[in-house]
Amino acid sequence: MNYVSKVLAVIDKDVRSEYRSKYALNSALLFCVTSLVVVSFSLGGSVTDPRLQAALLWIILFFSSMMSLPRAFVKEQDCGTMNTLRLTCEPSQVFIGKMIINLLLLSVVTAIVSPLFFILFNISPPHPGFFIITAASAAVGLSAVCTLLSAIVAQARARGTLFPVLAFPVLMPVFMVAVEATGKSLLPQSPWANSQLLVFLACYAVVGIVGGSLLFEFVFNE
Amino acid sequence: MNSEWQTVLICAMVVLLGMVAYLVYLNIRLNKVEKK
Amino acid sequence: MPYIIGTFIFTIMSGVLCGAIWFTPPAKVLGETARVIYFHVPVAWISALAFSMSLWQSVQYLRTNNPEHDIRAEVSARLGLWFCVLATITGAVFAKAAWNMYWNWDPREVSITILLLVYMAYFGLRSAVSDPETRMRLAAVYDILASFAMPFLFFVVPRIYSSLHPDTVINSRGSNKILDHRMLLVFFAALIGFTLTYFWIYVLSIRVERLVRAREESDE
Repeated sequence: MNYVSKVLAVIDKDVRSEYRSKYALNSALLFCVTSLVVVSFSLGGSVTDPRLQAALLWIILFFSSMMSLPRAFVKEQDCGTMNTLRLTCEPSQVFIGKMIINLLLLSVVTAIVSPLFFILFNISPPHPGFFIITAASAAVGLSAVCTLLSAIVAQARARGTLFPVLAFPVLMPVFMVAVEATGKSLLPQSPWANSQLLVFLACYAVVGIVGGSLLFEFVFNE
Repeated sequence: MNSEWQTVLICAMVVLLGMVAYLVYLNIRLNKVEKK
Repeated sequence: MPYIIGTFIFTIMSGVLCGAIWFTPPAKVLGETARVIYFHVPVAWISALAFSMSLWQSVQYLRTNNPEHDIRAEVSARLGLWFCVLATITGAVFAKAAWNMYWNWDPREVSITILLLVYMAYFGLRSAVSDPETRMRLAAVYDILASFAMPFLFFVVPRIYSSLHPDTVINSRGSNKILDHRMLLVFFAALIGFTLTYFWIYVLSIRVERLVRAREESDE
């Protein structure tokens, strides 16, 4: 099998097992919806400052990815299928496959949660295009880094608490810039003057993918 | 230089002296252990 | 021989202390509080230096798999963390004295918070892995990953936040031009003195760590 088909095989395996159980998707969605309800209820929809709205949205998305993304490798480790992956594929194929899985998961969750968020907080985003590009490039960077980190965490103890601890400092730039850019997209004036924020997110995504692929083989191979 | 600053200076010098003394002591101890 | 170096370091550092308190004039705008510059900046610089050294050693470890590099990476990370804590505390004290608030989330403060979190996460990772070889490998990877992310923070934060918030640290430094040659002298002496002190502690700590690990291995 050539390179691409192996990557697709990795993705396919995960998509199928996910389709059977829908565990990761459901738990991520459930967490997001729950925290969304809590936030919306406690604030009573009275949040009008776009920066605060942006921050709330990204906090919810962020914490849900802290919970759901590590599962990419933890499941493999626990079920003993890590060695199968090691034997059949090159590390970079596993990395890209897993990254695409995480990206899909993150995209689906974001696509469902963001409209809900806007509805609950009575926001009609004036510049949806900007927001979508922000969310997409942030998601790529997030999934690249989180895939690498989940491989690290799968080999450690205390995974649930270790993953956010490791992830947050590294993902801070994405978080900060995403909140900033989303805040700008919720303001009435045109956010495209701030396109350097999008460039930043794109650069981070590229560095995340490149760095992740380079470092992944050290984590994966023993 | 008033007395407040003098106090600060003296305290700081004491701390520094203590640090250096500790490092020298550590050096001696390490030498002993590594020779074994 | 170490006593000569030790004496030299002691002389420089005590000179710096006396100089900081006695010899240099107070700054134009900030007054006596500016004296912290002689301590705060060198400590922050050493923290960054330690982190770079740790990064280099982590890369070397992944290349050669020699545990010596991991010892150096861990030791420099540990020292870097301590100096980072010192830098944060001195910075906060200075902020309170100069602008009446301990913490303002301006770019410098954000960066140093992230640096602290990265260091602490590094040690969290180290303590969470039981197998020594895996521990060294994963720690090295995390070190490198974190330093991929750092430049984004250090170069982006000023660009974003300058549009919205005033930068308290840089503004004050701009109006507080260190032109007085006495201040420059003490400042550079402080930089040199602190760096030498750091390397002294670093060399000793490596020897200690080597012994600790040897003892742990013989215990098993």
